[in-house]
Amino acid sequence: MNPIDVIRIATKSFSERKLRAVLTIIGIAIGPLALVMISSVTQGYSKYIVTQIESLGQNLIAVFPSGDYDLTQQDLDFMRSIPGVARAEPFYSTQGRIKIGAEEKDIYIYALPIDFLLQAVSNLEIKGGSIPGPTETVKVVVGYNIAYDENGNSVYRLGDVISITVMRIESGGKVKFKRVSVIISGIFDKYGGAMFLNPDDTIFMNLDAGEKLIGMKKWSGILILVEDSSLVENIATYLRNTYRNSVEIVSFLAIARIASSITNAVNFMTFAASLAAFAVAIAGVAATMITSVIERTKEIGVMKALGFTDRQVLTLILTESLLMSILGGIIGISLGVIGAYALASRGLTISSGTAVITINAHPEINAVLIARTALLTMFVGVIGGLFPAYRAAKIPPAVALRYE
Amino acid sequence: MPEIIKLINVKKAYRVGNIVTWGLRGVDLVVEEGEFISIIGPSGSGKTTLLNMLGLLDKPSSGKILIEGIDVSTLGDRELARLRNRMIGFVFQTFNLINRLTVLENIELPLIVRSIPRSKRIELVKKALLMAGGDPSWLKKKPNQLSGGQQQRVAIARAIVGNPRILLADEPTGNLDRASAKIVIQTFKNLHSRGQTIIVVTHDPEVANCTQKIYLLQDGKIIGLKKPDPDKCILVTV
Repeated sequence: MNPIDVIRIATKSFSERKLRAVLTIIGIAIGPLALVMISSVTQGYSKYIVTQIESLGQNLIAVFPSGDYDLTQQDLDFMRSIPGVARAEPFYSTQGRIKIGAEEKDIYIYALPIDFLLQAVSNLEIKGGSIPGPTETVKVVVGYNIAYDENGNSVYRLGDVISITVMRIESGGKVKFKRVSVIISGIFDKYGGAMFLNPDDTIFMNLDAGEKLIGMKKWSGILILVEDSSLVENIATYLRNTYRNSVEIVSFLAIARIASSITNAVNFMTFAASLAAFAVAIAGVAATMITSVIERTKEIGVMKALGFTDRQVLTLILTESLLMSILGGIIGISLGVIGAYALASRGLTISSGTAVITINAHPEINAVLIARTALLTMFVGVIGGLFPAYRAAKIPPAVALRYE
Repeated sequence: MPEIIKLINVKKAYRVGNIVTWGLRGVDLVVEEGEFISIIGPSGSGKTTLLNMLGLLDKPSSGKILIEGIDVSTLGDRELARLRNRMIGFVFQTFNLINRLTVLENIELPLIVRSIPRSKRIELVKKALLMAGGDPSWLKKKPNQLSGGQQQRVAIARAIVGNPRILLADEPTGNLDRASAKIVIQTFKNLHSRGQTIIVVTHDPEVANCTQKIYLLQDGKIIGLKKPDPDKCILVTV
């Protein structure tokens, strides 16, 4: 039999029972819709998060003091002396609050050599102005969300003075507020949400400023820039072995790997959940096709009387279910793509205490996802149609012709 | 003329639980090429069962069916389907046309099995429809847009489009008015005059009298052979 004739006859078969075919196609479409929409959005976020972590510095290691241990110049010198370490710099970090119009906004404050920050964090660029010189303690570089409001309107300009209320918890748990004023010498370009550093909501100042303006005495940590990412793991292990429990070592490369494995697990779970929709679709196709085969028993008898073989009858019925699944797949994948963009446009908001980061990532729609979804949908058609087709093929012609 | 079909002591039993019902109790029949015969008998005499055997739609419980000397019991389902497609054309009482397909698509079905190109199929369909007394203007219509008599002519066209050696008709006039029945029998006469072997199963003596031989079937056995009375053929009676 010519394949075009097979498709023509099969198409006519399900077009006769339009409503039933449409409902079955809708049932089939739910699987690819869910798979494309959910998978592409989660993969988009996953990729974004991993990229962000990696962009924080694949070659970067952060060392934080643990317990009562204080990091000192001696530790810094030791870390700088480790082979493979390109640069190591201490930093202070705290949180503060600034006024934007009538509203108050929580912000982060990082005090560190800003040129080091630009060296370590890829994609972080100055939008306007310049970084303060090493001796300029009152000058700062601010993140995009501090200089601009949600609509992109300028709130603070270069040279403006910002008054920051810094909260400090002193020994004995006493909370102390300190008010400091700084001058904006530079504004960072929009960076986007990041997991550990949120440059858009941060004010960066020189290390000296952290001590002199804010009054911080103990380093919050030391950032180590390694010459090559292949050395990160060895140096991190070396530091762990040296300091034991005195410090916490954070390697962004390792975090990226962990994040990647977590997101892979999330992707797998969403894929598995989508499979449930495909299983339901198989049952739907099977129900539709078995009903169709029963209704057409006599017709199948006529076809056999005219010389159609069992295999040709099987091919016709399978083609019918396959065509329905292809139609369902096209509709489902198309709606899935639209749905993915609609879902992703809302953004993913991660809230941690006062910090709120909204991730806006494009859904990750690629050929592999589309091909995998299309194959799964066609599999639904074949599996759903297999039993009804086999049953139709095996009906003895004389029995089929007697069927009323 | 050479034998085209030979049935040797063909029996058919239907078993439902422990009850065995005999459809055929030992039928011997020889049909020569180019013959126009009828099998007549009351309801339940086994007419349709016999036609199913002749059309290779069912297998006998015992006995032999020879088509052009080939014992069909030795053939598999695929070979039987091929033989049905090439050798046998069916005309049913209820036409058994597929209503979602057009007249053209219905008639071309046996040719689709043979993978004949569409342009050639259309040519053969038109020729068959004319031979069956049909009108080419029906080709794009759906069967349910035609009258019963017209539908039966479409069914005859479908049966003969593949140029089969044997035409089997099961009560072909059973669902038709007298005028339409006359047209159908006249079509059979025309086909027979061109050398077509035709076997008609009927309970209508006026149809049987239009054939060359009448076999009488009763209780699953052929009980006699009767000479038709051409004066009582439906084509000449009022």
